[in-house]
Amino acid sequence: MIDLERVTKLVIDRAPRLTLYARQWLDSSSADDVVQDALTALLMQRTAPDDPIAWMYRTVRNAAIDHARVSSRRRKREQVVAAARREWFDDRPDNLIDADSAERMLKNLPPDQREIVVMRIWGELGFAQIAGILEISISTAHARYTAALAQMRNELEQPCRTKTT
Amino acid sequence: MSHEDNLNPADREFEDALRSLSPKTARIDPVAAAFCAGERSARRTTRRWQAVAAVMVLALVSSWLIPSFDRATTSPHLVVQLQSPDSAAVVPAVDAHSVLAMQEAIRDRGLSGLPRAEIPTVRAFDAEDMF
Repeated sequence: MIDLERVTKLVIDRAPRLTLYARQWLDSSSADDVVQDALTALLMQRTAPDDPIAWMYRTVRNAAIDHARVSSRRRKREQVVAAARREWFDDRPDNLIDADSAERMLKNLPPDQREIVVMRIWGELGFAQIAGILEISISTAHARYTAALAQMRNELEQPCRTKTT
Repeated sequence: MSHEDNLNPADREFEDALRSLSPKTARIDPVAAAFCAGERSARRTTRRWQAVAAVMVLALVSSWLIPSFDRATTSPHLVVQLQSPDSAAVVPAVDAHSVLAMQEAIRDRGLSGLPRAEIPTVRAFDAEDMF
């Protein structure tokens, strides 16, 4: 029997990270809905999964991709609005990196690299868990991760391009 | 060396910088999720019972329909009774001179109902016949 209280607390503690993960495919409110539905699905399980957090990431991923597929036309319209809006990270003075820059850099990554960075950095998942969720080898997960970090660092170190007239 | 610590110092520093960012808060309602999970589970159980009941009703109806269908499609039984000539059903004619027949005749029609006595004819007798 699933320990509802423990599992719910585990997910609620990580809800912002899960929502951040879902935001790669969806807008904020849809991402919240997908995580909420995934939590409901988790609570309906007769037996708790071995790794509830990895289970949640996988469920959120599948649901977010399905949701994005269904509402692709609406999403394209909303993407234009969402592109101008930064909604992934909180702006705080103790941030070591600018939230807007980080979001922009993440959005510039290929999707298969970006989701690994999000799971690794903010989801605090190990490469074995990430490989399990994405059904790829650990080496592939690690290679994509290092490639993503290299691209982001490279982008960050580039001087700002200003238009000269 | 595992993949977990297979990063150069610059990458580690960059990881730490990214980790300092906090994802925006999510609007997740655990109570609503638990309520919804309970409701869906109950609905699933109810549907299971409904399915079982539907199968049972179907089985009952089909078990009732199939024999009656058989009855309707098969031709009615035609019973032919054959009687052998020496069957016990053939009642032998009662002799009018039997006691039973005569009792019945008296009861129904009185003495006049009695059959005529069949008295043998008296043969002519000659003394010569004796010697």
